[in-house]
Amino acid sequence: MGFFLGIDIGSLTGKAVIIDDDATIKAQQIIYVKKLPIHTVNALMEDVLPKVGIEDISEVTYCVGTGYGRRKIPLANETISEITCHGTGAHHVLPSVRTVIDIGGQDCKVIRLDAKGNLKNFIMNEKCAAGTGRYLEIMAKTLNLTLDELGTLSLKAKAPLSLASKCSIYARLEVMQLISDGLKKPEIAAAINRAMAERVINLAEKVGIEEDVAVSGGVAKNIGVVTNMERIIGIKFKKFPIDPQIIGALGAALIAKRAYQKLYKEEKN
Amino acid sequence: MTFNGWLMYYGGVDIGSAYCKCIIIDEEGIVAKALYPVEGNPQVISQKVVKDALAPQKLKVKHVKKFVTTGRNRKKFPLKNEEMTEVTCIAKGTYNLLPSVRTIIDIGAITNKAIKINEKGKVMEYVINDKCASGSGMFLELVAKALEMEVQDLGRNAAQSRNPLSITNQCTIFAESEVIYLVNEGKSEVDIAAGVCNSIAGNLYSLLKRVRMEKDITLTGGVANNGQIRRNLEERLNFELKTFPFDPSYVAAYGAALFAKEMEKKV
Repeated sequence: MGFFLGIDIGSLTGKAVIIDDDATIKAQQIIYVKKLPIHTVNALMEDVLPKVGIEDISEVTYCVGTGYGRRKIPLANETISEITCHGTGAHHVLPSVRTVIDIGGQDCKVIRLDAKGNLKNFIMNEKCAAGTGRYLEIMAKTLNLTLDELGTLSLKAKAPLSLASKCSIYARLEVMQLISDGLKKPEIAAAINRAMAERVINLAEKVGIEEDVAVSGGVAKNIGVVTNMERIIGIKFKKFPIDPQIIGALGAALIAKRAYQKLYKEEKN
Repeated sequence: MTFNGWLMYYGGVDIGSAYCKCIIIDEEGIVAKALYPVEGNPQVISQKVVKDALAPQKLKVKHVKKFVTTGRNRKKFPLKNEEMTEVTCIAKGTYNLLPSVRTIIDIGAITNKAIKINEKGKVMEYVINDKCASGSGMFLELVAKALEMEVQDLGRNAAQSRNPLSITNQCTIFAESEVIYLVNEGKSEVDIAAGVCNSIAGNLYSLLKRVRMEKDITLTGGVANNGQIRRNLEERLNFELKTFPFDPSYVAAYGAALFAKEMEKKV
């Protein structure tokens, strides 16, 4: 019986997934990142290892690290790019998916896959906070809402409103102005989600959007942003049957399993 | 010129996104000035800054013959006034004090501008970076906060660095995260500050190239008080920048006050 561990250290959250020989998820966890990546990794291990009944990291069969902080995971046997991990994880749980839109805490990626789950093309924004989770985080804080509330509250908006600014700093000032002009939170929240959706779709259109489309990452849980994206391109997205935030970590765990099995085969020969 | 036994005064008020600046002039020159952060209602702040500038001179609003306002929030001034754009006011204030300047870089709270003026002080061309807050005053403020430094001390602290780090992110939000990360990794605050100043200087240099700079060059806006950014920019340019005889935060307000005086004379 093997334990294959995938660790995805993002800019905002750290994720860990453990799968067994049948690629069944045995443990998963998402936490906010600590001061340094190593602290995040340790906290994740304290949580997931007991869930599969192991005490020490040495009992993990094989580990793959991914994400922004992947080079700072000392226990990883290998590190693999987020693009590959997201593609692998997404194809595994939703084989019909051809376009994965991953909106992370500090970046946004659009990944195109073929029918076998191989990477066809991708595009990434990691230069500008607009269109990433950070943008929503800043806007939610400005409105004094949680990220969840920003999504749900926006559905109650009556009159459509749009934001003129793209830059997070400018949008924040614009939102503060709207608040002082007496506009209601649902309307402002809806405008924020719409602006966010527009930025992401703009990026996606650069590599082309092929159905089925699915959204991964923390922002996939914001119903306001997802509905707006669907409306802009006029198609319904597929929903991942697991938490969309652990797709990258799952992909890493799957790659860990494959890598180990390949090594094992080589040894046997 | 007198008015009921008082000298004639003119006011310039620059209501920006982060700071509100007021300058009062008479026939001879600057009489009073004051600066306040814009926290809350710009209408209240702008009136307060005018009163505070006047109070030490035992003057009241009624003694000011005319106000001209400028800046992003210039329409929010509650007293009777005329409005002028920031570009016009910055050019006016600069030409009056530093007539040899042909290119001005104004570093505002959230937008940077490059303005070219001719030998008569007329605005020939300008570029405003209003799509992205990269390299602006807000950038410096957020970073200073992350470094637990006063924004006024950041340049002085940076000057002590012997090993400036490089800041790779242009986006203000991402650069702030990068700075926090470097602090957490145990990097020296002084070296981080030096990296930040150098990054802003690089930003200003690109803006100068975009506008095809001509000598002399000067900086306006609050960030121009940061000596390290000035030195970093001078190193890139290989010549010295011109400096104002007072805090360069006030240049637009000063230009506005000059316009107030001119308008009143024409009547």
